Amino acid sequence: MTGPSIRSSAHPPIRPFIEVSGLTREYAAERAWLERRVTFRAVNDVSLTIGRGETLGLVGESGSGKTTLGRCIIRLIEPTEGTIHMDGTDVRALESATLRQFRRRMQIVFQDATGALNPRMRVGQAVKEPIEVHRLARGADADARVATLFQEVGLDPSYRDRYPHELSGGQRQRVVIARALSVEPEFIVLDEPVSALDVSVQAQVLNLLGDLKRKRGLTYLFIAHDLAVVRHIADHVAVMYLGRIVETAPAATLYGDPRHPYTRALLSAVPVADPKPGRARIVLAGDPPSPLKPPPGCPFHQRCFHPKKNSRCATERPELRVLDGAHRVACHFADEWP
Amino acid sequence: MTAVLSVRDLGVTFDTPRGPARAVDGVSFDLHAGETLALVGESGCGKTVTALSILRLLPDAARVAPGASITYAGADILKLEAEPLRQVRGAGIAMVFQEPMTSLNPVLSVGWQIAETVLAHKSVGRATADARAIEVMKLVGIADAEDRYRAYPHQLSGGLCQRVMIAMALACEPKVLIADEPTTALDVTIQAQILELLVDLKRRLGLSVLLISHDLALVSGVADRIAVMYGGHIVEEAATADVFAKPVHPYTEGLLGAVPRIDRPELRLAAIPGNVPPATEWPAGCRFHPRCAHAWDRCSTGEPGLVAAGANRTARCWLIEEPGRRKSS
Repeated sequence: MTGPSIRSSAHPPIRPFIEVSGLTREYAAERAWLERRVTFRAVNDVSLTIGRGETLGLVGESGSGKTTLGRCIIRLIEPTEGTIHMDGTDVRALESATLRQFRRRMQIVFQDATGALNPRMRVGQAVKEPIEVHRLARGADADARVATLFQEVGLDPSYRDRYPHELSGGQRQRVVIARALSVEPEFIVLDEPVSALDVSVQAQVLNLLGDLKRKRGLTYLFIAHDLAVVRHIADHVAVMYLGRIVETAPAATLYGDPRHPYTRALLSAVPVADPKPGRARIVLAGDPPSPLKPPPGCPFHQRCFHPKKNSRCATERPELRVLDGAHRVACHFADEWP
Repeated sequence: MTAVLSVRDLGVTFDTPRGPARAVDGVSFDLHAGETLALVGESGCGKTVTALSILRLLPDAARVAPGASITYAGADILKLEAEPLRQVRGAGIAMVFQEPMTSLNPVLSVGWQIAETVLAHKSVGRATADARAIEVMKLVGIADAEDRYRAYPHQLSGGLCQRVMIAMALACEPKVLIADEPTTALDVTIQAQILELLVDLKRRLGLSVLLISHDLALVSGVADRIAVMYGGHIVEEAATADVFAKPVHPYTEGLLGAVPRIDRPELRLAAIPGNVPPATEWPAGCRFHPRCAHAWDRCSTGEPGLVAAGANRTARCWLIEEPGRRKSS
C-alpha cells in the first residue's frame, strides 16, 4: 500500500497512477416516437485516484453506474466529459493507433467468462492471440508464454487444446485472467470477476487475483456488488449511488467507520455467516430511484434514515467532501451520527 | 415436532449423452411444522432438483428412483393423480422461484396473475379472486396494492416482482413454502427486504419453509436447520447454530472457510481445491474425497452412509467412525 489514494492539495508531488477527474457519461433514454429527447447520466462527475499497486474496490447496486465507470476508464465506452490519466498519460487524448498500443497496459476481466471466450477457439489460442496481435512473441516463443501463463493462473498447460465448454466456470475465468495477463498489463479492471462462480471456486479465484497482484505489482479496479468480497481484496473502497461516488475511504475506515447512510445500510444488509443474533440490520425502504429522474437535493434523501435529515437534504445536493484524510463523504451530516 | 413434509430415499436420474446423471441420490429429510429448513450447496449439488421433485415439476427426461416417497398430508405426492396433485400444488405447497422477472407473464397484469391462481384453486368468483389478490399484495408489503394490481411486470422493480411472486405463492394459503434462491437475483438492500418479509410471513402465517440457497451466510440468519448437499447427497444435517459452531463434514467446513466474511477480512480465503465433478462422473467411494484434505484410502473405496454425528445431527463421512483421522488445520 502506498498511502492514501486521495491526496490533499498540500502534497502534489507524485501523480497517482490512475487519476480520473470529473468523469461523466450521458446516455439518451429510450423514448417513444415524437417524444422529447431526454438524456441521463449513468456516471455523473466522478473523480477518483488509484495508487500504483493498489486495489480500489468500486461497490454499488445494479444501475449505480459502476460498470459504465470501469469501462469509461479504459475507454471501452467513451466518456462524455472528464479526464483520465494513467501513469501521467492523458488516456482520452490518445488517437486510435496510439490507443491500441496503450491498451496493452490496461485490460479488463468480465463477469461472464463463457461470453468472453469464443466457443470455437481453443483456450490456448485465445490466450496466444493477444500476444501475437501486440507482437510480443511469435511461434514457439508465444506457445511457451502461453504455457507459463497457464501455470501462473493455476491451469495445467495441457488444457491449452481444450474448448471453453470443456472447462468448468472457474477454469474458464482463469483462462480469461491468463488472456488479460498475456500482454503484461499494469492496470486491470475486474468487473464482477467472481460473481458467477460458486463459493468454493470463488475463493480460489479471489486468492489467485491477490497473488497475481502482489507478484506482478498490478493495479486493480475491482467492481463488485458483494461487499464481503471487496473487503478481502481492496485497499480503498468507493461506494456509488445513482452515478456518483457517495463515500470513499481506505478499506479499514470504510468498513469500520462508514459515514454515509447508504454505506451503513449496504454494510448492514450483507449477511454474515454467523447465526448469532445481535447485529442490528438497517433495512432500507423502497427501491433506488431511477437515474432518469434523479431526485433533487441528495440522491439518497428519500430512503435516508439519518436522524438529522432535514429539508436541506431535499434541496441541496451534498458535495463529496473530505472528512478525515482520505475519507470523503457526500452527506451534510456525515459527522453528526449519534 | 411433527413433520409436514417427509422426503425418503429420493433419487433423480437424467439420461444424458454422457450417460445417466444421478442429480439426486438417496436424499431423505423431514420438514417440521413451523420451521425453516435450508438446503444449501453449490451449483449441481441437487438442491433445485430436490425442490422440483417435491411439486413434481421435473422435466419429462427425469427418472425418479422407484423406492422414493414424498409424504404430505398422509399421501405420497409421487403417486398422486392429476386432480389431487393440483390441490397440493398451490393450496398445500407453493413455490417461489429465483427469477421473478422471467417467472411472471409479461403480458398480463400482476394482480390478474395472482387472481388467476386463486380462481384455479378455489371455487370463487372473479370479484372475490380480485379482492384476495389485493389482500395478499398488501400482506407482502406492496404499497398502493389497488393501483399496482394493474401494473405489468416490466413496470415493477425486481424487488416488487419478487413480492408479487410471494403474494401469488401465498394466495391459496399453503402450509409449506418452497423458496428456491428467492433473493439471488436481487441487490443486497432489496435482498434484505425480501428476507425480512419471508421471516415475518412465516411467523404470522405459521408456514413451514424449505429455503434453497447457495449462500451459507444468507441462510444463517433465517434457517432453523441446515442440510448441506454435495454431489446429489445430503452430506450433513444439523441445527443452524451447530453447523456454524462445529461443522462435521469436511465439505461444510470447507464452505464455511471459503465464504468471504465482511467481519473477518483475513488475507487468504480457505478455498476448496478442485471443482465439483459432473453428475455423470461421481467418484467412487465418498463423492467429496478427491477434494477432501482428510481423505484416506477408505474414502476412495467405500461410500459412507448418512449416520448420527452427535445429538440431532447427521453426516455422511468416515471421520465419524474414525475421528482420529481428522487432520488438524
